[in-house]
Amino acid sequence: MFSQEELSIIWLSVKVASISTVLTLPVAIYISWVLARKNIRGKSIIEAIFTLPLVAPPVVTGYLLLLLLGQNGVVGSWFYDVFGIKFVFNFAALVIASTVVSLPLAIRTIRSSFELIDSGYEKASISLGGSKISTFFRVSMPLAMPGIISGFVLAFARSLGEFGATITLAGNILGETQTISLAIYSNMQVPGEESAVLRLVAVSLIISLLAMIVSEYYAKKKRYLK
Amino acid sequence: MKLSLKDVKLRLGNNLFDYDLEINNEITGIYGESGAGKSTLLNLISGLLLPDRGSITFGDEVLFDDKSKTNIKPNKRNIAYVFQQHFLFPHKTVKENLMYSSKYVEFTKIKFDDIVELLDLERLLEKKPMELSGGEKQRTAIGRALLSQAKLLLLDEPFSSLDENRKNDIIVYLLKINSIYNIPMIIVSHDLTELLKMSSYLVLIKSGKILSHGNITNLIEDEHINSNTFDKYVNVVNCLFTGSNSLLEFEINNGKGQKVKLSKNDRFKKLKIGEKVKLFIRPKDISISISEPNDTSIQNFIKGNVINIIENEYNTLLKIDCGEMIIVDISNNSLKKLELSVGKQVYCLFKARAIECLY
Repeated sequence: MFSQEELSIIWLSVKVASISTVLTLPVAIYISWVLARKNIRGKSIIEAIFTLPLVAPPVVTGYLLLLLLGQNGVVGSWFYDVFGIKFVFNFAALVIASTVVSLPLAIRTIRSSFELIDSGYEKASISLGGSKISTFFRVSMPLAMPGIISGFVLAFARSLGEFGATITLAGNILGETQTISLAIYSNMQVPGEESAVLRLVAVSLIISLLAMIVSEYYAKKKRYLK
Repeated sequence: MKLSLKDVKLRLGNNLFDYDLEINNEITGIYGESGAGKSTLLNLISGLLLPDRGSITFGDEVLFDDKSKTNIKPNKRNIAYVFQQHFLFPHKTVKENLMYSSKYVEFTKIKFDDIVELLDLERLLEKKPMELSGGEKQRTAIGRALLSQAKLLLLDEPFSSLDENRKNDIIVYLLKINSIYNIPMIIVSHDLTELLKMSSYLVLIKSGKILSHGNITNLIEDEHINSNTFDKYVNVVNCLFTGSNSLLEFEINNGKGQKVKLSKNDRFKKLKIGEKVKLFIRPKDISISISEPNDTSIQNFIKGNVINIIENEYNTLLKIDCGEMIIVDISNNSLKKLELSVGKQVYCLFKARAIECLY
């Protein structure tokens, strides 16, 4: 049914989406909690920075990442000189592009979930002897779980479908950086590859649908605050 | 243990809170209108709010002092807080809620099994908070707070959202807890009747300031609060006594001294000789006679002396020493008719049915 080439494309996409989601989640949870609970200076600037990749064209995000992480970029050149690591046109670039693009989506979802929790639960935990960290893991996070699961799924789906930033930072190299979305686009340009396009479209839809079903199931199971 | 707040000041928006207070009671009631700053006071004591300046001490421990920059974090203060909305963790069962503090302290003084038995929580242990009634939630929250091995228990409006029977149940539970574990309690309420069933020591709060504090029988003599009003029309003293009870503590003995007849109900039947009992009588339910009342249907009368007479536009409050202090509310006409004066011997009459016994 699927060619070896298609299977490796699907596997690469799932791998990139999974890794970037796992990287996104702890960062998104922490930033969401800070934005929901802390009154820090320059909060609106931080909010703007983390929302930017959501509203800016993905190609622009990719281009900015290229400027930053490219071999001549500020961060990229330092990493290349010191560690010999490259962040462009490879697997790392795929993960970085996916992470940066999916992070704001996860933050928006998880943050609103933290904001819904009455801070009284956290105060109760503190008055019972819990430290702030302990309260976070024993009270805040479990109560925000439906939002965290939704954020996880949205980040995964966004990573899986990522196109603009990915093609700009990681390129479209068959067998190396070509994900499902990039493969669909490439195959569309080639006459006679319509069936391959349809197969990949179907796979994308099935993975997205499964993710949604799993997230709904867990979100319903853990919905306490209605 | 003594709790003292010295020159504690806090500004929240346009509201200024200013507390100077020293209390050393088993149970202290904090009374004031909503928005007066009662809960703010509890938040300051628990450390959930930090004052701009001043110092807070509990026992020998300085909890907060701006000058020495001392601030013990709320989770290290050993002060448990029962919130008005309970805030039982919805993702945990009653048992898990009760056990919450076990990660931070050992249940040595106050034990899990004892609390479950004392508060009748056995059949609720596997339930989630959303399955509990208001009274059950309240009991779980009290149990959870006690199990944190706290040295002081703060209760914010523990009687709100409960019907009359449940209110009395919670009062009995709290009084039991106080007598068994000897934990001082500070109870905030705008329900004076319920508050006075638990403690005759009141802290009156108005507009973020402590108006007065002391025993209710002494508060009526406080000229400062006598001249003060909770709002434009209602005198504080009148407001206090409109719904208040005289709290009397008697020891059951075998017939020596003054007798009080109680109406027959299950709780009274269980009383034994030597046991102490708290009785509550509303000042409006007590009548006064200057001679021994022999030809009246009222069977209860206690002899006492008038200690103070507080007259105002509407009524007169008498403070009578019958061994315990009793407050009696009579009309200004009765005061004139009976020619009452300080030092005069009187008989306080009340129906057995007017007496409420809780613990």
